[in-house]
Amino acid sequence: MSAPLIEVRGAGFSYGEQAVFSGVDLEVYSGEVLTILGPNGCGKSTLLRCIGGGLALDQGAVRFENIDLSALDARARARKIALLFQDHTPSFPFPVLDVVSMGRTPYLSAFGAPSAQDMHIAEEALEQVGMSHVKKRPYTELSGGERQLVLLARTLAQQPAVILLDEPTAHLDFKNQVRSLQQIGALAERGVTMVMTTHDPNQAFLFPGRAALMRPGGSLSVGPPSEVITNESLSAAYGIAVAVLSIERRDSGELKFCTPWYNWPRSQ
Amino acid sequence: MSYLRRCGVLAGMLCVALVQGIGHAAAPTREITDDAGRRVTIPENVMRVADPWHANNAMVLMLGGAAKLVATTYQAKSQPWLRRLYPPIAAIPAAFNASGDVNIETLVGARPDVILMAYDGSLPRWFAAIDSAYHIPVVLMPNTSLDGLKTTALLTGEVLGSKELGVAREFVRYFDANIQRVMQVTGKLAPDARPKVLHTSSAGILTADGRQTVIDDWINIAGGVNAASVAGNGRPVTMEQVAAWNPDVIIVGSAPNPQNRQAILDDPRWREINAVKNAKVFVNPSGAYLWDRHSAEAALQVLWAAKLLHPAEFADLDVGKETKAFYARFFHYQLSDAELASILNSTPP
Amino acid sequence: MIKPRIVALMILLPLATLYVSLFIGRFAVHPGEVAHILLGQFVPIPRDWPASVETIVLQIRLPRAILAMFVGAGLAVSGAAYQGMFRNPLVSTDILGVTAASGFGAAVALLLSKNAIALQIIAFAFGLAGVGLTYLLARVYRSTPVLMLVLSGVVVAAFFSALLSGAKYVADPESKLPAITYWLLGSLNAASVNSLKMALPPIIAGSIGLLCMRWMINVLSLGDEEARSLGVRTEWLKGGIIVCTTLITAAAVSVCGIVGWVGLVIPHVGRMLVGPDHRALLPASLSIGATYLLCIDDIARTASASEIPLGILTAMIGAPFFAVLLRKTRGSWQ
Repeated sequence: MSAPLIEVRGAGFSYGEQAVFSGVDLEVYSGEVLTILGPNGCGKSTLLRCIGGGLALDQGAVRFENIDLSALDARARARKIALLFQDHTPSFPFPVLDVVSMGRTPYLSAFGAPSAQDMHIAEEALEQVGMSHVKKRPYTELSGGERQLVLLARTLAQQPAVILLDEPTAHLDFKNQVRSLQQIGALAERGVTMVMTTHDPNQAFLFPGRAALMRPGGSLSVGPPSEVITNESLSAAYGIAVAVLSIERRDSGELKFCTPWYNWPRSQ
Repeated sequence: MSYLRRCGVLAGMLCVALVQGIGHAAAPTREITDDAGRRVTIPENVMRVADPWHANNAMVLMLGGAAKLVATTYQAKSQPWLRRLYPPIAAIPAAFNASGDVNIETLVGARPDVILMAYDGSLPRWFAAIDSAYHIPVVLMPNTSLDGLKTTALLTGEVLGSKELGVAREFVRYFDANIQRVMQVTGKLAPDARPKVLHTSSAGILTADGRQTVIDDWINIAGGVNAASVAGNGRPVTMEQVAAWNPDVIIVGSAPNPQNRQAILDDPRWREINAVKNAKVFVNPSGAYLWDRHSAEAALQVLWAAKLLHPAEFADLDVGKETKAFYARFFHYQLSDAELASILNSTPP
Repeated sequence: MIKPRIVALMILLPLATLYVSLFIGRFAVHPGEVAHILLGQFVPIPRDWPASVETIVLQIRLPRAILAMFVGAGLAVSGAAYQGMFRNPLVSTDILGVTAASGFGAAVALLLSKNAIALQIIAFAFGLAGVGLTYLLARVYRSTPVLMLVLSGVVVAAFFSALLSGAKYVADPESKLPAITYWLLGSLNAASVNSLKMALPPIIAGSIGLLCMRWMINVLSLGDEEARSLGVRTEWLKGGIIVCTTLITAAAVSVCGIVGWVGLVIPHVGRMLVGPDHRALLPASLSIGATYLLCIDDIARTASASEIPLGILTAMIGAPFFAVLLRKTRGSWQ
């Protein structure tokens, strides 16, 4: 395997006295979609934010292309790593295109504003996610799913090496979840490197790349999803009975999915 | 407690109450009518007086009631000339603060027989408490005109006692004589011979003292006309408005500081005003209190102002001599020339 | 970005209002005379107007009008920047305590009978000190979260308000207390060329600083963490915004007392005209704020012989306007 794009070694983080995780080792390789799963409270969102540089690690280090992340200033970091946040509260009704063009900020000077070239990149990014038709609308008028795609376009406008997505489908309805995942899939096909946290183990099976199952305290098992996500590992991690089943699809081969394995009351 | 002891205690309490009652009933009282038309009952012999009215403290001193003053105001205590004329005022507690609020404990602790107060139509917050709860009689006196000043002098004298009333009457006679002397000349002046006078204090903002004030009264008596067409004391006005009035004479009130006169002379915005062009900008004298407000020295103010506005007609009037005579006669104080200069220039002694 | 018509309006309206302000007032001056007097400053023409009129126009009205424009513009742009930074439509320039601290400084200067220049300096210094105190109080682990800033501002403002009450308590009621009270209500009474020379540099410097940061304020309005993920150095940016707005507001308060409702209301008017993008909003706020306060000051000095305090007029107009705005927008930003 080639050298990893991101290397996390011995990472530990605590909120005050409370340790969230410690001793985490992780690599992210170029072109893959690394899915981090685990139950609530295991620290996967925190880990993601540490990788993104938003939070500082208490122990250990994150290295990006062999450079320590904490040695980079915010602008240099933002040119390499983009974050899609889980909870985004819109404030002002900026037009959609302006919101996407904010992704160009890491390339602007301290007192600068986006140039025509920057706006062009923003338009292209918006096109990539298929939201060009709303580019002039105030983005507070969009639905949750549409807004998610706009923010995804913003991360694309940043032209980063890696996109970190924090539970991208968390607040979306079923249809928008699928749309979002399709977009992520399209990006994966184009070779964009992504690290995604999710509470839904099924999402790990959708994209090319490895899965990391995180347990409270920080122990990770990393590897291909079919190896990492098994009946036993999920049941142990989530503390409930889970079965990993597989379906044969005529055109695209085996599709695995997880489901809780209980005796539900049956409808008569 | 045994039955006998209880009877004894009860009897003792009754005796004390009786004696108290007798003691109270024995103090003779008299009634006077104050300026608000109220009939106020005060002791026959007033020995302890509280005065929350800054200007009136000097009046009390002048009438001879200095020894009877038991509570005064912070501002009166800090008048430099008042301290010079009556040093013991430094020891008198200030029960009333600058905005006229009262420290009840200090006031009641001073055990005044009567409170002398200025009355312009509205009563302060603490009036009801003093009146109904502590039963200290309050005498209300007028404060919006020179005529009212004479009434104030007489009422203050009446409250303080017969000797003081005598002094008050003498003062009013002197005051009237001064006014007569001035009006003999100014009463005959044609309207266009009366210069427009602006009286301002300008503490950080531009203000003018207008109609229906003591200031308006002495300006008129002295043969001038008030340039300010506003009503009341210390009304904020714009530079433009002053330029529109274009006063011939500007008198700067000594409170808060005489530097305002220099500021006016230096300020380019005032350059084109008549008074500045003709160098007729003056500082108002101040002694035991500010001459231009409700002070006993208003008697001197009319002389000073008349001489200022009409120097030719009052060539024989020597304000310095009159001031020395006044201070000797009423304050029992011999002014040196240097002290006289400091009063007329409104600098501390 | 903005329609050219609106740009033209934003430039011409303040200038036209300035010209009108020079000939209205309680002292009658003809519009033509004003034009001649102004022209006569640059071009030698025969002086056929009285010297008193020239003093009125050049020494009294012109400095006052220019000061009104700069104060109005400065307060408006500061309010717009703060509303962006705090992401809250109810934020005004007073939020970090500069107004209360400056007001106290002015009261102290009046108590000590200082002249107008000293008063300006003291009030300005106190204003800066007040915000400095708020900033220090709000530091948490090398950052100053917005919530901490707001709460610290409340504490510091309350503190200086209490001190101000104390100052009023000991003030002489014949002269100093009315002066303090009147000054606190806001007035351009003391405007002169000197006060211009003192107040204009900080207001201009602060406004230019804010204009430079217009785009970054857009990004900052996404929230601290998102802005940081886009490479913005949020602590420096917030610090820069606070420094600029404080320079402006302290200078404004030091020269004309407490004039409220300008920093709160004008940005909303600006948003209605040019939208929420701060690249357009900040310049628009400058222009609208200048025109607005100039008109208000014209009313203040002309309506009656006794001057009406500015703060009363801006409150009487600003508060109802804001109430209508609240009803129309139902609390959302649109």
